[in-house]
Amino acid sequence: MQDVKNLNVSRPRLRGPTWMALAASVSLVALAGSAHAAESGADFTGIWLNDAPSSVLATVDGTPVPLNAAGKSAFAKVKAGLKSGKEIDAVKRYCLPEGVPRLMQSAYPMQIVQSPSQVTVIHESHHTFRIILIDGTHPADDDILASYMGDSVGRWAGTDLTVDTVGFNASEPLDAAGLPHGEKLHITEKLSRSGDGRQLVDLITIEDPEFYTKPFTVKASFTARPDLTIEEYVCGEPHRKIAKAVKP
Amino acid sequence: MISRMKSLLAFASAAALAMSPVVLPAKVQAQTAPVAQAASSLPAGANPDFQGLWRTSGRGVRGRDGSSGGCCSEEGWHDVPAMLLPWAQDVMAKRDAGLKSGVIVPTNTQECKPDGVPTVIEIPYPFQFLQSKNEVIIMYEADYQVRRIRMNGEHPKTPKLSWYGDSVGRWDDGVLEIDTVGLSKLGQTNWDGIPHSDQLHVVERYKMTAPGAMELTMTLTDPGTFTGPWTIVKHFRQLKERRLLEYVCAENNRDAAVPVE
Repeated sequence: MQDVKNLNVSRPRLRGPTWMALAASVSLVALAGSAHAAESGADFTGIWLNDAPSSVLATVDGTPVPLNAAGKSAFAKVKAGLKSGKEIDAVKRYCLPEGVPRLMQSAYPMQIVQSPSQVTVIHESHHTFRIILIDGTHPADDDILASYMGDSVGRWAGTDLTVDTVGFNASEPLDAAGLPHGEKLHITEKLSRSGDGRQLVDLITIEDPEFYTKPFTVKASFTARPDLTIEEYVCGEPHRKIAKAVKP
Repeated sequence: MISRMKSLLAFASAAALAMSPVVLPAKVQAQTAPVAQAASSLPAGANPDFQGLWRTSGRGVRGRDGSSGGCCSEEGWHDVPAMLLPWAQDVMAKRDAGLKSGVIVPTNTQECKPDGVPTVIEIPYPFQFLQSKNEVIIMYEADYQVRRIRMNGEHPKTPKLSWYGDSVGRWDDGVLEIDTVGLSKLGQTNWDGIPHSDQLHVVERYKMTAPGAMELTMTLTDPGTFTGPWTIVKHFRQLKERRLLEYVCAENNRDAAVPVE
């Protein structure tokens, strides 16, 4: 890691009292959810490629992102900072995880692996993964380890998967433009197959009353790419030229 | 050595977890992850289900002859040089001298480089197996590392060198055997920084020995580094928890080579 000594980002804070308490609580909080096979559900298994990767979020209905006064001020500050170099995009500079929702907009492929109790999304970008516990419940607020990925639980409604994610840290903006968010960020996603079944659509609703006047929805749409594999991605090493590599 | 301290902290808390007399309500107990069954309790021809979270039962990795005190035991790598070729002994001697003089020669793990295979196997954080017919995926809590094993696949004739190598797997009488080649010499053999060459060949055999208990017998062969095959035995226990927590090495992590401000 170059520039490690200059790295000045906040670490995910442990909101519980101590590590020891966490250790004890993990066994209590992490057990919720059923390991029984879901009655409903769809098969999202496979390799998926984002149809329109973007590092900047745009609402699905084309309306401006509903920033409130605090949001506007924070956004302006980050935007100016990015321009002047006072702020840095820690994802690119320090190899930090893109986190949710930015990760879902990546140009690199992702793989979904499913079992009745867990949907796992493995991303090539920054070699990260999301674990979605089916019919799980979030740990209590005090027991959540604030993270880039947040804590995700999922529920099948017919062939749609609803994913509810909380427990984010506030270390990074929502996107590369610098849209702010705080630790109260709450993301709800609806994943469903569309078109001839070769598409997967993720409608991502972002809610954070600290910086936004109301929830807003962005969309990520993916195409099944069984011809692709997830390759090794090591930050700091050259990666494959993704646009060329994924040309159908 | 923040990375190591983080590890030790987690290690200590995990030990506390193992010892803490947590009494779960009956309802919660009923929701724990299913316990993996030993191969012997399965119908003939069925492969055991390794899916779930696992972590090491301790750092008690055994030496090449099965005796204690070999690589990776609490004694560290000091017993290892006997099986290292001179160039690798030199590397370790420099590392050892650095520890004494304070001019640390950092390991990959300390620098947030990928642990890769086989070092990642030694990291004492939990990991999860995902199983499908064609693929076994191992996800490690430590820095979101992921390995993919193509079941019944074959290695390419000249695999591209990488940190995790090219892994193929097969079931052998209830044992999951993973064969890995194509490991770049950028990687290290364990988190004490024992080097290896591009010729490293790793064979892992995961066996369920009892419900919720797994044994790994791993053989490392590297004529470029070791005087002979090196066999390591490691034990894991299945965890009741269902979540891997987030561990991001790049996050304000400092290695010993960088002055702490």
